[in-house]
Amino acid sequence: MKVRLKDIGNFKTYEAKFDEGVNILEMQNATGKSVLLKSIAAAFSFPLKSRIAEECSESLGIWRKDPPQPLVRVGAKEGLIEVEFNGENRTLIIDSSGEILYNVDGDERFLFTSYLSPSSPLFRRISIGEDELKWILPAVSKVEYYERAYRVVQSILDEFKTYLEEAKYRTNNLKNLKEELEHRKMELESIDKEIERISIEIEKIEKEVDPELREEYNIISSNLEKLKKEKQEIEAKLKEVEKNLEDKKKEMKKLKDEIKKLDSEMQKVGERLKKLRTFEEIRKRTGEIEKELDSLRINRVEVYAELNLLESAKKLKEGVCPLCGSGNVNKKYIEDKLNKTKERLKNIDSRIRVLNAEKERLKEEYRDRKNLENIIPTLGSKRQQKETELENISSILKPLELETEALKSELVECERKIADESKKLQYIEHKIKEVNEAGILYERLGKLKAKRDSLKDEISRITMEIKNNSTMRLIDAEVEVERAIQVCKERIQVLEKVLEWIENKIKEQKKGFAEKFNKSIEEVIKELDFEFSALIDPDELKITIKRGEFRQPIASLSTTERSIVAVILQIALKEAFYPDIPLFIVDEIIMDFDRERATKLVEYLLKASKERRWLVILAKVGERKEIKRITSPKEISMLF
Amino acid sequence: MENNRNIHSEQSINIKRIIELINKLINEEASEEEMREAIIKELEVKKFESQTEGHW
Repeated sequence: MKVRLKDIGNFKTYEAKFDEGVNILEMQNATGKSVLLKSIAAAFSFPLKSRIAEECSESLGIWRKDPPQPLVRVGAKEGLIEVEFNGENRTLIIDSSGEILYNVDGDERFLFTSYLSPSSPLFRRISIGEDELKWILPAVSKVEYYERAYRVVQSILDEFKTYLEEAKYRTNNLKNLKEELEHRKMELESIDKEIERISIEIEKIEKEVDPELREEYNIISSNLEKLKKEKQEIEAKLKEVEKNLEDKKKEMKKLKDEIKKLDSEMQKVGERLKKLRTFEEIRKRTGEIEKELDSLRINRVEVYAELNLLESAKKLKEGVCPLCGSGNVNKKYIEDKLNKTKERLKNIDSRIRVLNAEKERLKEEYRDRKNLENIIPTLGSKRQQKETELENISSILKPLELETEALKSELVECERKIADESKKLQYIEHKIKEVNEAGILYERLGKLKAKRDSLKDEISRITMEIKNNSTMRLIDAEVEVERAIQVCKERIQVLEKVLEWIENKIKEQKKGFAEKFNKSIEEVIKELDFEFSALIDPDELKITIKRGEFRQPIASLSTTERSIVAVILQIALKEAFYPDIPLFIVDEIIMDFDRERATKLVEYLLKASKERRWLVILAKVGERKEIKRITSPKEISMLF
Repeated sequence: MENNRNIHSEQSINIKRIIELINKLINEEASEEEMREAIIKELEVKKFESQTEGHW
């Protein structure tokens, strides 16, 4: 097998060659050993189709949904993997975003069966003691597709069940509608018969009635109708006039009240005026006050001058008296005089204040009088206006009252006429009783005809509903509901059988998987001659370890033992489920086991390579960078 | 009796047809949508009946 890489991992270009048999690939850590193996796995597995394969390849570090791609060299746009195996060329070109630009159709089963590394899902799960193997099932069988088909068929079956329910509902509805239609048609038929019967009866009566009597009856009936109409009109008019009259009376009362109020206001103003002095009296008194005030002011000046003089005299100690002109100042005399003068001044001031206050009051009185005298004409004018309005209304009132009286008389007269005509009609009615009967029949006929119309509407509505309910859409066709029921039942039966078949297929797949896997494990372990065996439960798809008669769970094994179980399972998987491509790759794991177990495993693979022409690649970490081929068991010891 | 036998044989034909279709879809690794579309088409009133013409 030739492998050529370009822009893959850390390699710009790289070439490797593996020969038939067991190849031991030895390289230092981080020099591209795993990249080389992953590239081979990718060339045989891509393109990936299932979700589980994508998850597996992500876990192995072969491919990622999001960039950067683990295999494409950093900085390169795309990477190339070329594998030449058994005369076939497998080329894979993958770009840095993960898009496959070119590939030869591979099979994703390769990832699960033919390539084992510490990152493989199988190795990781077994390493942590997980015994469940259900997850491999979709990878190596069609069970996932059967389950998919099961879900689809189940959902279609549910849809047909819903269709069936709808069809049954419609059928039931139809039954009720048809019953209702029948009922309505019978009702219509009976009404039609009744209409016919009454029409004949009316015709018969009308032939028998005296034409003159009929004419008289018609005239009186018509008169009576006219009178009744006339009465209604008079009543309406009377009501209107009476209302108008009532309104006017209310208006008059309001006006009278307003006039009364104005009179009372005018009286109050007159009384207040009587209490006030006339303008002449006010002016006269004001003149007197002014005169007295002038005299008081003069007097005050004099008294004040005297007071000043006395104040000066009081300060003198001796000499001529400034008052009397005598030789000595008489202190006591001055003192008395001073007091009296002060008293006089005080009296004058007091009188001035009194007179000024009176003067202010007079001014106010003058203003009041003036205002009141101005109000009187306004009130008078308002009163006059109201009086005029009152007169106007009074003039309308009388004709209205007369009209009311006239209308009342008219009404009485009309009622009398109605009574007379009614009496006449009663008399004629008595005479032509049959006419009345015909009238009743006419009335009944009208009602029946209306009912017939409504029944006809009802019948057309029901007919329309029957039409709408009688068919339904079933996938691609509009079918009669009865047919829809038949079709749905048939489809349901078919789909239920199909579901049963799929269910069995799924069971078969699981059982077949377990049986095939168990057989393969048994053969591998027999060949390896290990002290234990492994068994998969066909229902639960769980693996247990058998040691003689004892069984133990994976979780109870040591780490190394779990790794050995993982390798055995991987080989068994390859043998049972994907022997198509005779290529088996194990990265490190085996070469880490103890010498005895590793030897047994390599011996097994050597045998497989000889008997089934397998090409095996076992990678190990080492100082040398080489690919060593083992062709016989003797050479195995060289590995350790 | 004869009619029942007819219906049964007719059903068998239809079941066989749908199973064949599902097998084909599984081999083609069809998606759920593709499966649904194909099965529904097979169950269509017109098509379904044309396959077992004369029985309805």
